[in-house]
Amino acid sequence: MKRHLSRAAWLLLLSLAVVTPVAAQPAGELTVALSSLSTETLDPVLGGHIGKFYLSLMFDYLVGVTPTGQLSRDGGIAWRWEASPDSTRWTFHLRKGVKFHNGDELTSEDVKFSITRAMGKRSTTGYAGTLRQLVKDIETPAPDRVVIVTKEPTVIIPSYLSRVLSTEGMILPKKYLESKGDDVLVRAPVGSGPYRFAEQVSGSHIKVEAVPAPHWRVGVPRFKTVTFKIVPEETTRIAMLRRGEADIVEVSRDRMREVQQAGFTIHVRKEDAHIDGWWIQPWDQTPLRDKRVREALNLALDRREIAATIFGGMAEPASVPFGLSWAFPDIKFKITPDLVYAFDPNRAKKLLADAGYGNGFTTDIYAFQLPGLSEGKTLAEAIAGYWQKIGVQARLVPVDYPAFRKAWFDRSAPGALGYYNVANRDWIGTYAIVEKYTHPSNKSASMRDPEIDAMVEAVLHQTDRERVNALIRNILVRLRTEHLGLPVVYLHTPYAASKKAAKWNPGTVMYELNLDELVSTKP
Amino acid sequence: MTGPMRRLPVGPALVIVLFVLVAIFADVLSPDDPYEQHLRARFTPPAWLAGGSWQHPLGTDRLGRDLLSRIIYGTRVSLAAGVVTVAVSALAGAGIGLLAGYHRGRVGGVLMRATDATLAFPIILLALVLAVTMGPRFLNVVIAIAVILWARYARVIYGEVVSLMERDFITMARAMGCSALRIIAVHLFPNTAHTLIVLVSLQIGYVIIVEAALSFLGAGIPPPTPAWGSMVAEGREFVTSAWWVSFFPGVAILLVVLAFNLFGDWLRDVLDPKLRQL
Repeated sequence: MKRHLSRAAWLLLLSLAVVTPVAAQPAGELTVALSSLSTETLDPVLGGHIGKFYLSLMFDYLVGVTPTGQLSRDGGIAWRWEASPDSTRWTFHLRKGVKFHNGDELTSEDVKFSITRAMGKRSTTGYAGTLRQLVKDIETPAPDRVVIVTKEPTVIIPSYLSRVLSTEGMILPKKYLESKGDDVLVRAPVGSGPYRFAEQVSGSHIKVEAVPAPHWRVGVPRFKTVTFKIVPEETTRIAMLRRGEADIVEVSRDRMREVQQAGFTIHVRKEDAHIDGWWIQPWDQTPLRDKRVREALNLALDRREIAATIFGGMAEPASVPFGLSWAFPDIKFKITPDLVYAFDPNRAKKLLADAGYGNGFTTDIYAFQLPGLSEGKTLAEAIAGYWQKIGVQARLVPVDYPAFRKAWFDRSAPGALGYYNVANRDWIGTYAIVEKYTHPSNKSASMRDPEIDAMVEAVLHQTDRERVNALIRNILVRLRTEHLGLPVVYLHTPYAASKKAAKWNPGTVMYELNLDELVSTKP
Repeated sequence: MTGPMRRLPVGPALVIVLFVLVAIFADVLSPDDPYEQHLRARFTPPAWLAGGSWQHPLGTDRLGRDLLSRIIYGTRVSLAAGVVTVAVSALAGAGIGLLAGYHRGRVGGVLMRATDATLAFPIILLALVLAVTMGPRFLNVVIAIAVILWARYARVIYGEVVSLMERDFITMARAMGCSALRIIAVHLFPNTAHTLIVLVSLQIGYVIIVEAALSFLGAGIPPPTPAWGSMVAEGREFVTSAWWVSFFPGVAILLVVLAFNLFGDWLRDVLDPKLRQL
C-alpha cells in the first residue's frame, strides 16, 4: 500500500512538472537602427524629449499614457491622481513595491527629487520653464503619496509630468544620485523601467537589458536586450535589416517601397510631424510686418504638389501654423475649408502689389537637413522656387541645423525663414510648442502678437477644460488668420521592420516609438 | 612626342572652345530656365530612356529642373571660377615671386617663408572656414582658392627670377642705373611670362575641380545657382534611382578638366619644357 502511494505521489509530481509552464524568460535581442539618437544623453534632464524613445525603457514616468497619447492610470508610477477643488493641489497616489534597478524602493521622496531636479538650473528639458513658473511646492505626506502645490490654479500638471510630453515626469533614484553625485546618470543611469542600462558607446549605440524580475509595466520583458544603433547612412540601415542585424530601421519616404517589396513590414506613424516654417525675429522692419505679405508667401506654395512629389505622397497639406493634428480631437478643432491655403500665385502677386511690393523683395531661407527630414534642403529650395514665381527672391543659406538655431536664438537674421519637422502631439504638447514660439521671454519666439500672448497666458491659469480648449482653438485660428508662420505639410514617418516587429503599432505619442508594446508579454 | 614640334591637341582645344562658347551663349543654348522647377516632373530620366522626353534631353533633377540647362549655366560658374581665381592668383603670386627673387635677402626670405606657410595650408579647410564665417558664395570660393594658390606661382617665379638675376643682361641693367621697378617690369617679368602662361593653363583645370569639390561639400557656390560640384552632390542621394542627376555634371567636370590639363601639357612642352615636373 505504502509503495502504491509513493508511486502515485511520484506520478502526481511528474504530471505537475509536465503541465506547469516554465516561467517565461527574456530571450533574444531587438535592434533599432536610426539615423540619429539625438543628444544620446542618458540623463533625462539633459536630453529633453527627443531621447524619450530609449530613455522610457529605463525610466518610469509619474503619469503614463496610452499608445494614442491619452493619460493612463496603467502606465505610470501614479495609479490615481486628483486635484483639490481650487485646482492648486494635485495629489498623486504611487504604486507600492516599485524598485529601482539598484534595489532601492521608489517613494514619494524620489518623485519630489525628480521633479525638483527637472525644474533645476541644469535642466534643459523643453518644459522646465513652465513648471518653474507654476510649481510652488512639492509635499510628500506619505511614501506612496505626493502633492504638487501650484502657485495658481491649473489643469496641466498631470500632462506635463506624463509620458505624453517631455522628460520632466521621469522618476529618478534620489539616494543613488545623492550618494554618487548629480553627474552619475550620464555614465550609469539607474531607473525603474523594464530595462536597465547595459552599455553606451557614444556615436555608436545604447544598449539596455531586461530586468530579472517581471515588471509591472510590461510583465517579463520579451527581449533580453534592446539596442539602439546610430546608423546615419540609410543604405547601411537597409542592409542591416536585410542581413538580420536590425529589426526596426528608419527608412526614407523615397526608399520605403523598395524595402516593402523586399518583404519587410512598413509601419507608418501617420502625421508624425508637422513641417512648420517661421521667420526669425524681429521682423517688424521687414516686408513680413505686413500681413498681406505673409499671406502671399503662404499662397505661393503648392502644398499638394510638395506632398505628392518631394515627400512621395507620404504627407498631407497643412494649413495652420503649429496646428498639430493629434491635438485636434482633444480640443475639438477642425480644419474648415476657409482655413485651407489655396495655391494661388496670382492672388499672392496681387497681395504683394497691394502691400507695396509689386516688384518683390529679397529674403533668406535657411536650408538644412533634420533627423526625420532628409528632404529638408530640397524643401527649402522648392519654397525658394515658388516664391521666385511671385517675384520674391529667396537666397538660400545652406547650413546645418545648429547654425540656423544660433541665428534664430541670437536673432541675427531678422525675417529669414527656418523650418522644423515639429513632432505631432496632443493638446498640452501643442500648447507647449505654441508657448515656445510665441512667449516674448523665450529666445525661440518667432512672432510678436499681444492677442496670442494673452490667450497663451490665460491657458496656464484656466481650470475649466472646455475653456482651455476654446482658448487653444482661438490661438490656432489667430495663428492662421494672421499668417504667423508657414505651415507646409503633415509628414508620415515610415519604419521598416523584421518579423520580430511585424506586429507593432508605433503609436502617436510625441518622440515615442511605443516599444512597450513590442517588449511586453502582458496579456 | 615632346618639344616645340608637338602638335596642337585638337580634341582638348575643341572641348575648351566648346565650353567657352557654351558659357558665353548659355542664354541662347539653354533649352529651359535652369531655375524653373517642375516638381511633378522631378527625376524625369534622359530622353532615350523609358519615361524620358526630349523636352528634358538629359532628364531633370530633384526639383524637376532641366539638367541640360543647369549644366550649360554651370559652365559659366566653373569657367568663371577657374579663370578669375587663376588670374588673381597668378597676378599676386607672380608679383610676390618677382619681388622676392629680385630683393632676396631679408625681404625675399620673409616672402618665401610666407609662401611656404601658405603652401602648407589646406584649401578645403580654408574654404570651409570662410563658408562658415562669411557664408558660401562665389566670391568666397575665389578668395579661398586664390589665397592658397598664389603661393604656387610665387614659388616657381621666384626660382626663375633667382636664376635670371645671375644673367648678364640684368647685371648690365643694374650697372646702367635702371630702377628696381624697371628691371622687374621690363627685364624680369617678360622673361618669366612663358612660365606663368604654362602654369596658368595647368592650374585652370585644378581650380575647376577644387571649386567642384567645395560645392560638393556645401562650401562652394550655394544653391540654387547651378554649379557642377553641387549638382553632383545633390544627385548623390538618388544615385541608385536617378543616376543621371550626378552623372552628367560629373562628365562635364571630367571633360573640361581633362581638356585643360591636356592643353596645359602641350603648352608646357611648347613654351617651357623645363617645367615637365609640374
